[in-house]
Amino acid sequence: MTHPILNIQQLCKSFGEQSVLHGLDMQLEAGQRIAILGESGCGKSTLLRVISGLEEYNSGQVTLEHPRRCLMVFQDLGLWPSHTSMQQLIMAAKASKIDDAAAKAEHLLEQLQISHIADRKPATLSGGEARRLAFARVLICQPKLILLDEAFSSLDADNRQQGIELLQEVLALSSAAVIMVTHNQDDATQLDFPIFDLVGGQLLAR
Amino acid sequence: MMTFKSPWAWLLAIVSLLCAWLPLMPSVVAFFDFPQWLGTLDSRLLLLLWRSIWMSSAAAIGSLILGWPLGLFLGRYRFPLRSTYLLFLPLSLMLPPLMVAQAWYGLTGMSGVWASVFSFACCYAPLPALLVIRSLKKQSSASYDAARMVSGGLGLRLLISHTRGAAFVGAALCFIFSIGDFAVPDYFATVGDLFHVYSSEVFSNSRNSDFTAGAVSSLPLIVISLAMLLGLLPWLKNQQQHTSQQCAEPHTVKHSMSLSVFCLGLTTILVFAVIGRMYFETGMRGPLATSSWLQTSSKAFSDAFSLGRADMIRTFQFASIGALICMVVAPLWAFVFHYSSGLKRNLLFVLLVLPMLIPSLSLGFGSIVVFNQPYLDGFYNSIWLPAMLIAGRFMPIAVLICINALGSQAAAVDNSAKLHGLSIGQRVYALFVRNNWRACLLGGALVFVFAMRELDFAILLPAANQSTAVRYYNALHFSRDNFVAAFGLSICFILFLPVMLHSWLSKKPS
Repeated sequence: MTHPILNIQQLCKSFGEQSVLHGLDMQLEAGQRIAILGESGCGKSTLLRVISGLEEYNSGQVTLEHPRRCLMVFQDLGLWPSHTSMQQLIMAAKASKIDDAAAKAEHLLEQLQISHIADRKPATLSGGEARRLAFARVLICQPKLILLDEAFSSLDADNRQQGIELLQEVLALSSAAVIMVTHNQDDATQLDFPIFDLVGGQLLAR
Repeated sequence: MMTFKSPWAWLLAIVSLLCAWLPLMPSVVAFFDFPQWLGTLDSRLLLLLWRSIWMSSAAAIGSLILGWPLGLFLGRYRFPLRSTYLLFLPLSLMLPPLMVAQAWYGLTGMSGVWASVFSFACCYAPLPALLVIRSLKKQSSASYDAARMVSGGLGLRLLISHTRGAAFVGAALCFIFSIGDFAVPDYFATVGDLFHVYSSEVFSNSRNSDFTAGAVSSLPLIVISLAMLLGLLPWLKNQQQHTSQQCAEPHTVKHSMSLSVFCLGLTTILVFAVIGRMYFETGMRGPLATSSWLQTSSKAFSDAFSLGRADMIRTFQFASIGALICMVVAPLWAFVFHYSSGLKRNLLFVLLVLPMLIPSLSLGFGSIVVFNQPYLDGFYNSIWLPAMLIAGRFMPIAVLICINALGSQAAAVDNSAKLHGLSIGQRVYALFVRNNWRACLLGGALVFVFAMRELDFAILLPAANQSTAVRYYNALHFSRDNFVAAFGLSICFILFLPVMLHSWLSKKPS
């Protein structure tokens, strides 16, 4: 058995009186990809925020083997509005201490077929281009774990299909583990990810 | 998120300590002797304190009466000349209170405590108005439209209840600024029947150079301001809860011309009458004068520029340095607030805004006590001291603007930067400031404006004596009416420039 890159034990998180995660246990191995399904407000996004370190938790233990190699693609992408696509990739790569950032950024833009947006800022990009850039910015940091927070929830049916195809294309370029949270079972089924349900603050395998 | 291992946290702590908190120390130390000091309050001082309290309370009510309807109408309805009134509204906040007092004395001959009340109400009415407008920008479109569809009266009631908190916060700020101001009551006491308020008593300590006594005697004003601030916290929190993704836009109404006339009336009271009267005074002549109004006015402006140029340049220098310090440090403060919560956030808020809410006189006395040391002689007499005090006192304005900008930015922008491992310096300056440079510039511009009109501590500090506000104060007391009016208008023009600039920049796309 390989060493887990993420180990969560008895994780509890509440907002005031409302308990969201209740003694949650979870392990993820290198390269493992899963989908977490649940109703709105059940704590899916909170779980990702806790794993990424954006949110504090009340009790339990969250251990990441490579905390600086855990990155997230946000629902609204979180692109940096005042930077061009190329600048975003270089800045992210340098912060992650990746050598030869400019050349790698150029190569990645080419691989994701968005070389033409290298000098453009997010406001001028189409939805699809912006999504590709968000994935590129994550990939250039050579992540060990990618968190996808409702990556397709804001898309209509046609664009959702394109989004899933893009994700398959992107994930083929990386060996990172993936946790995708969604409230749409079709997304998880199409990607062929094992599905876990988040119910009552705990994860249940199907 | 920002620990003391970070050099940015050190920068924030050092700048705040030097600019804002050190000058407060003499007053804070006196606080621990408060019970003993309370015993020295005689009936005369208590009377002065009581007069200051009711004068400021009346001014706050006046600011509500003038500012609340203006804010409601400008924020919610469309009518002719609305954008012009919106442009001029902040100007009345930038007019030095002494100038407003002088103009209304010239127009009506009013004097005494009630004249001070009216002047303060006019000076600070834009605070409730602007806060109400801001609050209306966050009102839920659905709830407002639903109420309007039931009846116009219900819509208006909803508007009033939605903006109540913002209006009261504005009025409370009017109270705080009025109670610490000594120059306006002093002016009306000079031109009419003599009366005193508590801040005059605090200022009188400068005449016998008893600066420690000055810092100590301002303690009741600090305690009142602090109590008012703590009272404001729930209201401020309440304001934040009234936010909505789908916000109501201003809409047209049946009687749009009447609304426009009503707003013209209020804007005239707040701005146009003051500026008009000041302009008229630039050319006022005695009965034996041989020159025309125009000649007198031209000479007054010429004198204002030639005699006041050095003061303007020096004020420009320390105001610009103060504004620059704020532009660098305010975004860091905004980040600290954004990522703190609960008691820590409230405590930081009090620490941040206290230098702005305490009487400027206390800050002046405190700075003299702390910085007037033989080994700090060069610094004490340089423009760096007033620049630092300006930064410390008006930092909250720049910070609140940055907090607002940070709150409007999608959370994922900074979260993704954090996850990508960007340093706090990169997140603040390379991302936030670069993306929100207009907000940072507006913060700096407002600090500059308030620095230009700062009088109370400028009178006390030798390094700030050569400033526009002190020149204005002195000239007013020597009854050089033409010069005073022309000089005041010149200051107004300079103060209005940043507003015009911001208004112009706001219309440009990013």
